Amino acid sequence: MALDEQAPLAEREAARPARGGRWWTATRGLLTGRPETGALFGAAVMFVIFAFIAPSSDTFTSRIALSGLLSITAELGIVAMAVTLLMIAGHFDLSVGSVLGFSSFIVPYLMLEYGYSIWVAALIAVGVAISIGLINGMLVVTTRIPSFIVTLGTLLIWRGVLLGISGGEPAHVEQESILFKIFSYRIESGPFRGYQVSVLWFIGVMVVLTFVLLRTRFGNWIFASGGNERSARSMGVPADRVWLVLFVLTAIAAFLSGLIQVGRFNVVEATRGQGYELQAIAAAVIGGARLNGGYGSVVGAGLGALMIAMIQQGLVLSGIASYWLQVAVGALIIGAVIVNQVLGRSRPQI
Amino acid sequence: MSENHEPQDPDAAIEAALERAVSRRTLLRGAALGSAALATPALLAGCDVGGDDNGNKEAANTAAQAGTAKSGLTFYSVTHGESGNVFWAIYRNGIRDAEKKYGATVKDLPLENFAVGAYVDLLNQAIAAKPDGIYATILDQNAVDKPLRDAIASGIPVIAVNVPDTRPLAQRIPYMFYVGGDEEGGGRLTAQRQLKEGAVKHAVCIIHEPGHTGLEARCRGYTAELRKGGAKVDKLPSSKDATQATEQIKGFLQKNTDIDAIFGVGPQPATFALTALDELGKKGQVKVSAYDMTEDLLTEINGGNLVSTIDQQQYLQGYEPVHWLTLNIQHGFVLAPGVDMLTGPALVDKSNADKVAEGVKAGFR
Repeated sequence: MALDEQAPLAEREAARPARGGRWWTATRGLLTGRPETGALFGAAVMFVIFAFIAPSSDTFTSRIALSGLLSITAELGIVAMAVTLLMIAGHFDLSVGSVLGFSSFIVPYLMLEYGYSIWVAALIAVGVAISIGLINGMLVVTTRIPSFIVTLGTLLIWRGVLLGISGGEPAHVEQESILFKIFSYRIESGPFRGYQVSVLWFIGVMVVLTFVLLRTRFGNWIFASGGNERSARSMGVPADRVWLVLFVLTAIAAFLSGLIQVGRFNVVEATRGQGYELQAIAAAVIGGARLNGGYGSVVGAGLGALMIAMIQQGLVLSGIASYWLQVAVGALIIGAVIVNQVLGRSRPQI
Repeated sequence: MSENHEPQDPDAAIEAALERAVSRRTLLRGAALGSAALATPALLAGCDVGGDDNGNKEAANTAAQAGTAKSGLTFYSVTHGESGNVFWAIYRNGIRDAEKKYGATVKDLPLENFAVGAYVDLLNQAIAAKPDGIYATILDQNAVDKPLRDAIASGIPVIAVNVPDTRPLAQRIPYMFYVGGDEEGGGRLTAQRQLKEGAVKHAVCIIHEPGHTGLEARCRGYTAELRKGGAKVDKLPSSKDATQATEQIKGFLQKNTDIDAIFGVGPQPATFALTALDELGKKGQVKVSAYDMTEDLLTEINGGNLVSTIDQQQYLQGYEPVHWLTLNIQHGFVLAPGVDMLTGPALVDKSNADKVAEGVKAGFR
């Protein structure tokens, strides 16, 4: 037992050679022992394969296909990266899909039913998302019920509230607004025609979260509270606070993705976000995150989302019926974990 | 439908309809936190009806003997239509109107969480109350087979609503008839309507819940009808997520540039197809049709972006069983064996979208 508890700590140290180090150490670490190495190679291989399979050569690498690929990646990736931090800290959030649906539904709903301006509605919706995250976190921290169970409950609750409020009917918002431009603008001319601004949000979130995880004390705490809670606490890591913050983070990320969709589609239907939680966890795992905490990568989760998006688009563009989509994603998850294990074993040990 | 109604003061009718529409929205919103609270009174009602039920029956017999129109009959509606669902709210409007019209009482037992076992329990509960008639969805024909056969054998007339027993007449549960839609027929009708807009060479049917029996049937009907004319028809199973579905559709349209017709088997895939076409700069170049009714779809039809959608007219599915059970009990009327009452598909296109929109606002559709 004692040995088991020590092992993840050693691995964590190995996984973060970049901490406080110079660039060359970071680069070497990236190639040999980073959790996202497998995902990086996987994504590259998959891209090449689909570029070849998709018959008329212009399809998979075309502007429309690439922009579509990145739109899917951005929204799923933002949620998956936040979920990954929580997984590294040792917890799950299964409620992100329901939170995405519920919090983004609130925006058009408040505008239609109560005549709020879009800014006020969005502000209230952020508040709701933060509160939901706090509730998840408080329940986990105070009751010590596993987060899997707590968030399974809140998944059902918030979806139920959404269905109840909406009566199953979609809510519309027909409005031009700067707010929507900020989150959902679609470039209409130039070399990046067709790309969504959500891609920039995705990159931004990736950079910030990676920095937090690898370069800050809070990042250390995330690894520590997921690796071994008891020793982390004994070293003065405020694990409860870390978890609270991360549950709020996943809820905000879910709202961000939801808001991006509101701006693009001008409508939120009551089923919005259903199944997103599993896609997000799949992306996190493909990206190298470990289910029992203490190990994982923000960049990896982003790449995991990219791979899921590539499979979706690739199958359509290759003319393979997407009835086979789930087979491919399922195989990818298992394959990725096996590869990550192999890479993990060959990682230099300190 | 209007000829079945007694002549009414039109203003009063509109007022009543508006009131109903408003109360429907309030009710739906109220259901948010109280679906358990809603279910409980329904169950309680189910239990204590046994008592006053006999009274009703006696009244009914007297009424039947006297040959008067007021029936006082009690029927049970047992469906998988959970409260808080728009589709079923309109079904219930049909029930309420028929109750008033025929002086009957309908006990509504909706299944709140989809589970076949729980549904059979609800059905048994209704049968145990010995009502004058039952109308039920044939959620699982094997599971409801015995209880319904027993009920029919004990003299309770039964009508199937919304979901039929799909077995051949000789094997199916001997209910009076089925009142509901025809999914495959809806697909065929959509294809025929699109062909009126012009020739179809290569079409795609987009299905957002692959494996859903009803949705697959819509696709099947559409595909069969178009293939008769030599068109190529593909099926695109799409994600439920808005972005993922839209990008899948865009990818498909990019790969198949000759697509000239799209059938989204529900409001969502059709709406996402319109977004995809818009973003590809192809809006208006492809014939797009949807299934089911939302105000948004009607707007798109009026705007010329959508060719058609299909209405199941589920108001009639709530209304007609009360009408026919009453006629059957009072006068022994039946339909010819094996004949069903199809309330759908009813085509909605530019020619009737405005009229239908009024119905949506008033809670009839």
